Amino acid sequence: MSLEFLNPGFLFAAAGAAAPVLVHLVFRRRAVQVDFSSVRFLKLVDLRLARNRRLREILVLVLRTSAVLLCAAALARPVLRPEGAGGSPGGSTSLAVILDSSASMRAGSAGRTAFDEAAAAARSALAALESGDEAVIMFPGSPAKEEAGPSRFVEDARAELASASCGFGRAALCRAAREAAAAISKSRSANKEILLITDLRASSFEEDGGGGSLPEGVRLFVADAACESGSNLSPVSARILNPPVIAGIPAEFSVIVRNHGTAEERGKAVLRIDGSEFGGGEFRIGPGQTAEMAFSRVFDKPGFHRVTFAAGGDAFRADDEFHMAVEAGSRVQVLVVNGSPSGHPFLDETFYIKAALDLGNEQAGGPQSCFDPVFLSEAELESADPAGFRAVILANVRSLGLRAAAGLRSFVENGGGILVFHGDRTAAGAGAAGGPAARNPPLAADCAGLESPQEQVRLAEVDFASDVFEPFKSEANMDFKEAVFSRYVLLKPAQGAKIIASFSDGAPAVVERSEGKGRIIQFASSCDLDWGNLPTRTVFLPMLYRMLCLLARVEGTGGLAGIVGERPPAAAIPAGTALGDLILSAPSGSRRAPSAGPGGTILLPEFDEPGFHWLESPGPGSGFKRLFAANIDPGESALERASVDRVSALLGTRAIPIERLSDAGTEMLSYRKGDEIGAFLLVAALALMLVEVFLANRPLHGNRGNKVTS
Amino acid sequence: MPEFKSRYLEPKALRRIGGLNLLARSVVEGFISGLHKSPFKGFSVEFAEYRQYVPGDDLKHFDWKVFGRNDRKYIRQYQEETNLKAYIAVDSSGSMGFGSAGTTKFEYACYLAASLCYLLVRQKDSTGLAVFDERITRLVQPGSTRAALLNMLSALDSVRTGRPTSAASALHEIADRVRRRALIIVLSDLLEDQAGVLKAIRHLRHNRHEVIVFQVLDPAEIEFPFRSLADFRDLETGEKIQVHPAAFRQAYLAEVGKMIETYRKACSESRVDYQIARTDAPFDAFLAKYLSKRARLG
Repeated sequence: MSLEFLNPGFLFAAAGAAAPVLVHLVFRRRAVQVDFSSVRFLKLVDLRLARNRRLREILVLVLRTSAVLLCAAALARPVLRPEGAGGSPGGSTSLAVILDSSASMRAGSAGRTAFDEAAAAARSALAALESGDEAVIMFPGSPAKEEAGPSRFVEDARAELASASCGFGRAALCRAAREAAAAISKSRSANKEILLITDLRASSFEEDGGGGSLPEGVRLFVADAACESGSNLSPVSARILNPPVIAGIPAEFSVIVRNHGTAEERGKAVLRIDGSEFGGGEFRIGPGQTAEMAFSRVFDKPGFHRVTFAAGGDAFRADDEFHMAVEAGSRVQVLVVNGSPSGHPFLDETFYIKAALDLGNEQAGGPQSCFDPVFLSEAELESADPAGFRAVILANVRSLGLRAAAGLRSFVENGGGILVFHGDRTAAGAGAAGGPAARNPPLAADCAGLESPQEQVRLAEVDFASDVFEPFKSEANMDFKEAVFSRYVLLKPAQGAKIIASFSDGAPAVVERSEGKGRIIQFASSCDLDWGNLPTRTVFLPMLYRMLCLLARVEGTGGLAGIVGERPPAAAIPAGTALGDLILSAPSGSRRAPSAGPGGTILLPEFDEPGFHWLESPGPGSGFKRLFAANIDPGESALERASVDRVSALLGTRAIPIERLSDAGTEMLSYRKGDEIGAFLLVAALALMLVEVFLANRPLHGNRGNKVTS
Repeated sequence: MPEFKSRYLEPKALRRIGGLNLLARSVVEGFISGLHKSPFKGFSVEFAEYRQYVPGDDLKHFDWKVFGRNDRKYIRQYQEETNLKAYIAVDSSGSMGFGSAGTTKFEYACYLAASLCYLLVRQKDSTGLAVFDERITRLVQPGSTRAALLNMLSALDSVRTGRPTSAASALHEIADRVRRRALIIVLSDLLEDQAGVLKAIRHLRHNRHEVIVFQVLDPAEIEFPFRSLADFRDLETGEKIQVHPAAFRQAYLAEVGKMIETYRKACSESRVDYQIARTDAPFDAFLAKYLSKRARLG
């Protein structure tokens, strides 16, 4: 505890402690000299009384001095406050209340959440303020409230608190504390205080641990509002195993459920699609462990679908669901032009392509692939219209008719994609496809002749940074080096083209180029087993799907799941729709307008609640709709907690823990104002004076029959 | 008796005590005529006064001549010279020079001594005087004549106080010097080691002397009436001690009371007359009262 004074000027009155000494010196009686018969008895008495007398004199002096000092101290209005309380007990207060409104504050039991407890503590703190004090209240984790900005009026803060509700976001409490400190540091109040009411989730303090200390003189209180709970189950992520999602084709989902608690948990995961619940699987997860659950479901029609995985049912219900926006597309029409057809299936140039694009259709009794291929010969291409397809594969196609070549160029210009494989029919030609330039389709590279290396070459240099190969970067079982080639066409990339894979002898293996709105990917070898074994390697099928998805622009339909507090990905303004017509509707019904982003894109507001958000243009005739899903930050589900000492270390100041939430205001008041002890000092001074009077007038020894008789 | 010129003999006082006789409590060695008890027969020699004859008086002292001339009946009374030897020991130490009421203790003691000398000489008792401080400084050999009285009064007049006291050693000296049984009257404040004084008194008693102790004390010594802070200076040693009387008074009075009680008790046990002579009391009244009391005790 430390001692402070509200009226320190009165401490000068402590100089009055010298008064007893001065009075003694100034008014002391001069000793008169008395000739006496014998001092024998006086010496005897003196020997006996000297010790007691001196002791009493010292005691009386101490009592008098102490009484004066106590009176002076009482006038100075002493206040006892805890050590390091700072500020001034008599000054006004500027209080910043940081009410953690992150999703984890929704945890609770018996109908009361941590946020309810925290709000009660905040009310207590605001109620303890006095006239002339200022207050700022912040709600980190609740974006809407953060945007409202702080107010300096206590009544405003109380009103804000009364209408506050817990958010779903993630709180950056260190940053909030610094912002709060900046807000109150401008105040002229003597006491600058921050009350941080939080459940002390470690994730809330991770983001900006090195952001610096709070300014000197700011008192930081930390109130722990966490509800006692040692268990929490939540689905933390989900993904589609076989994107893109195509209506009518089973979509495979993988969901990760994590046990954040300290004991083994059992439960059941449930899949809901567009509000209809489908069965799920049971799980049993050890503490801190995860379980992967698999679901399969066929979307019956194209368009956006609301997919929710539910698991949990514990005290923290906000994270018991994981939402995913799934856009199911129609099957992708792919035109496959076979330059070397054969009656024997194994000698046919497109045998493996056909096998890949018709994957499982026969066994499953229905379409299992997202691609709907159409196979044509070079001659048939003349009469076909590529505009009806989303991607075209040219397999060993030597030369096209003029109309077909023009049609393909137009196709690419308008956004179509072409995948080119070479073969023996294209190797000898001077053009890219082996024919006259006017008959050539749009290509990524020119053909400079056939290469037959002495030793087989492999796909050695793969650019995983390119969007073609990026998904294979972390796939350990996808080894491109397994594929060997005995022959290939030496490609000379055209202007603007990019080599995204090379053979082991350094020759380009895969070249890609954009033209107009479309894209061309050109492979230097064949798509059958004549020049290499790539079609029989593991990587062939996913690589082919990936290339076709990119060329057909079906990327992004594999399911969208954002996080509350983050913005949805920027999107282009849909054709025929004005930005002002777009509205983002939240699950709770709130509607917000997007703003214009860079490059003519839509900048959507941050997700403020979990669930499904619709971006739509409600105007008549528009019909534009897009679905987004938002989930609670996985960090909010974690039960790891930060200690008050950790908070102190992060913010560079000693955090004072609040013992009882409901009495937060009283406890803070105790720090702020302290306990006035002036009255006690006055009583003590009075008591000392009484003792002094008693001592000063008490004989050194009692009456002991000293009457002298003659 | 003729008039004596001495500052210690006041006519008024002498008139008051002159009619009284000092009664020795016990039998003393020597001849005692009149009221003194003595195993020996004495002889009368000097006429003192007449008194009215009452039936039963011994006709041997009837004055026939007066009866014949005036037809009045008188009995002749004589001053009888006895063999009672008395010593009056007067303390002349520095402490005796203290006096808060105008009269010092020494002066008071001298008044008493002179009066007693006069009384004893008038009784024809052989009276001597010893003045002492640490030792006997003046000694007047006993005598019952007027000349002896003059000598004693002269000795008292010439003594000055101021030296340290040792009544004990002085009394021991007296005990050693006086061989025959005598009446020893001690006039002192006895403000010294009590055990030593009492030992000396017992020494006198051991030599079969009759001892009377007058402890001469000033009222200030008994009541300690001082109020303000004072440096008390010892009149004998010059030693100073600063005292706040209010703080010391009770303890001091207790010590004085204890001293007096010690003397009183010890003297009583040794069959010694012990009296406190306060200097604020008229010495004649004090002496008259004492002699009267002594006369009653027989």
